[in-house]
Amino acid sequence: MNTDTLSTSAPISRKKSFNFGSFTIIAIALSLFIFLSFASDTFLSTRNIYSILYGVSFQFFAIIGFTYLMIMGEIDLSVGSVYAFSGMFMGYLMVMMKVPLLPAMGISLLVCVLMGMLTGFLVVRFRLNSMMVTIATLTLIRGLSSYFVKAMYGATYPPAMRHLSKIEIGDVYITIIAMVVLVIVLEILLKKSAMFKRMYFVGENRQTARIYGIKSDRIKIAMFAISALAAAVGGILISSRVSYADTAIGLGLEFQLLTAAVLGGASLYGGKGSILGSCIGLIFLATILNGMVIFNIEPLLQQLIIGVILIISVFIDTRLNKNN
Amino acid sequence: MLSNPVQSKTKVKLAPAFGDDDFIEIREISKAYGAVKALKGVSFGIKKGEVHTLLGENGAGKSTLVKIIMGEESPDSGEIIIGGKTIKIFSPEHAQMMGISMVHQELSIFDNLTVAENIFPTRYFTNTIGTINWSSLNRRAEESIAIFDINIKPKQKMESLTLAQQQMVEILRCISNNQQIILLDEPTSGLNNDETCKLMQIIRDLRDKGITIIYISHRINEVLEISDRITILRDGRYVCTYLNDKNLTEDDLVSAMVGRELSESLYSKKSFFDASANPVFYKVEGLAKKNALNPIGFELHEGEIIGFFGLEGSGLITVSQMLYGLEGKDTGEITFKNEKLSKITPPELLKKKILYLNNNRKKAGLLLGSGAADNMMMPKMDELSTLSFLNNSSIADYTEKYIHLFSIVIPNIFEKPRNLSGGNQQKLMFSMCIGTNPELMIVNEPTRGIDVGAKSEIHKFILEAAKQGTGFIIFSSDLPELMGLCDRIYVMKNKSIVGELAGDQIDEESVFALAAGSGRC
Repeated sequence: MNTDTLSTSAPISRKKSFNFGSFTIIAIALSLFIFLSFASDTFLSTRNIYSILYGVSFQFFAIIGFTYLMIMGEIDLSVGSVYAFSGMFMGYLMVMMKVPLLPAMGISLLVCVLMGMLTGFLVVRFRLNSMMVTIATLTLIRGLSSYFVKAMYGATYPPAMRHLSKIEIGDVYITIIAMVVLVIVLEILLKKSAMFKRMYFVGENRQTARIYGIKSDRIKIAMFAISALAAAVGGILISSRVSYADTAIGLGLEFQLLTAAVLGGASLYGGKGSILGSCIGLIFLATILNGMVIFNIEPLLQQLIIGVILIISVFIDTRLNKNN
Repeated sequence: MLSNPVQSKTKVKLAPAFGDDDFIEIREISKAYGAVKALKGVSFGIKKGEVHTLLGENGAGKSTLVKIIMGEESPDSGEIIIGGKTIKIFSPEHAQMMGISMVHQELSIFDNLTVAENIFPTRYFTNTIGTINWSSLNRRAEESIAIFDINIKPKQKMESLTLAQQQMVEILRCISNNQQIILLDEPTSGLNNDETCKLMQIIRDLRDKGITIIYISHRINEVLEISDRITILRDGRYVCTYLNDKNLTEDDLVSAMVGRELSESLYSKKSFFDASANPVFYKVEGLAKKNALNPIGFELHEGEIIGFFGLEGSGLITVSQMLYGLEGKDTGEITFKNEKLSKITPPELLKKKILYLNNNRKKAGLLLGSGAADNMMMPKMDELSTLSFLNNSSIADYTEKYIHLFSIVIPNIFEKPRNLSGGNQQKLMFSMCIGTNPELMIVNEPTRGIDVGAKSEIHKFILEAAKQGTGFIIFSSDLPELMGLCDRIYVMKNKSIVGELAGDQIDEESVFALAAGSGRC
């Protein structure tokens, strides 16, 4: 009679059960890739793939902090504006104030980091909703950028700045190399480091994390700062590539990043996400747009397609994570 | 063998599974979730106008059966007949139509609406032009509230009510909608003694009006007090139905539930350990916060377990949270091992090996969606990593060690607590704290909403850890539990400590007299 109590000495598995969810985006991206390779002669050329990666490598910077914040259950919609602002501000310093390259870059990055910290402080200290705060800073920083566009009307950036995005190491653009290296390093950190693991805990349940001594507020402010810094780096590089203050830089980028991150496994409810996933999400979006260009689909439809993908990914996210 | 009731020494009356006058007939219900067979051919009947309790350990199949009755799940085989009609459609709406409703353990209320709107969420009191007739809505709500003799107003916002009051409102909603069958799932888990008494009275009144009550609770004394008949489930099977007469005892029920006689009574009083001669280990002086807590002071000696008891509104929870820095204080000093604590925040206290077990594991205390290993590592990430890199194999070893030590039933170390039973969740949360080798544990409701088996295990763990030198401050609304664990009990009332009892002075009467100013119901 007594043997029906549960045995405790049964071996416990250490194997993680296979979770298809996190591989969905890889599967979808691969099938799209294979489809385009067969459907078009031009798609699967080294040059085309290379140009897709080059394009993505700028946005990739902006999605780093964006992903971290989503993991922590926050969102930073100001990345697109910071992305535009950093390059224009740096260009402004160089063109109008004659500040040399490195100091100009340093000042611009510093200002962006401070803005990120301020956003983080507002969100954490006053428990403001990060979506609303960053919509405000999005507008505010975009406003600042328009001033620089007007001030530098028609001027191209100095050659030293324009050269930044063209730096190559062994015939490969430095931005692509940076992207690959960062994906590997950051992904390892995210999975293996205690510091990054804490972000998932905070994102899943801030109260629980607090009980076990995790200083979520401090981490959040730091991540808002990192989000702004990373977006600023990407912004300086894209400005260098565009070569003049273009109002279109970073417009709507936040929604593209959101789509990519959610496709890559991040959740609007926090506690989930990865840098690798977000990066593949970006490549997926870029591949779709590339395919549309190859098949001569009206460029104006691109926005529409991204909108549709965003709806689908948010739908899937909510279905998968509705328990939270 | 399982389906045989356990032999009992006393003369206990077993009722037949079915009678001629059954209102609800549950016939051969089976349900499996994947490989797990939650219910294996359960059959019994429930009469009209009785309080019928379902009793069983976590995992016995109670909640699955309840879900099927409520139409939230459909059975794999078998049928349910209510009032002669076989239920063909299993949906919550259909159950509602059949006159069945349920008061969930996790309340389903609209926080930002008023009490009146919560009592009548769907029945509109409309004027001729179609707008809500507030005065008649509020008047009807007031009539309903009057049944309960509770101090709430129809126009009050739900969020301003205490948990107990919210629960009362939810029960009122069921009654007010003329439901014939009401399922109550652990209705007293958040209630204090007074409110429990009140609820018991209400349940009796409802029964006398012919309403059928299906009652689910882990609190056996309460079950004995309220039930007409008690059906025991174990491992997904029907064991037996007891007629609740005077001969039926707690021990009968517990042994039928677990399928064996418990070696010791669940609530044997702790043998008093007089630690007053030992050095003071932890001392609180003048802890206070405006409108939340009047100045209090107390001390814990080495090797001692102290308890705090109080009814709702006594300030009990405030104190537990202030001690761990989850709530701010205006004044007060805390001395730990002869050292004044300058900063009372969770990270600082963790460094001193002071840990906190939360009272609501679902809200905070566990990460329900992260694996057991992730949960386990959380309080001691620095120890389990080298240069910030997590040491996965030591985390796995560590997690496994505690899974075995605390007999947590879990398929693998990555399983999410969400998929575990309440008892196993609680044991996991407890091991997260114990794993850090705490010097002091502030425990808020150690065994809320878990089955007797897990409960007695956790009590054993607490006593064991205390023997190893961990100090315990236990806050609980379950007085027998406190009596079984504590050497001294502080009683709180009106945001102050009103008494302190030690050893032989501790008995239910005295504690309640202090906490409520009167005896039990």
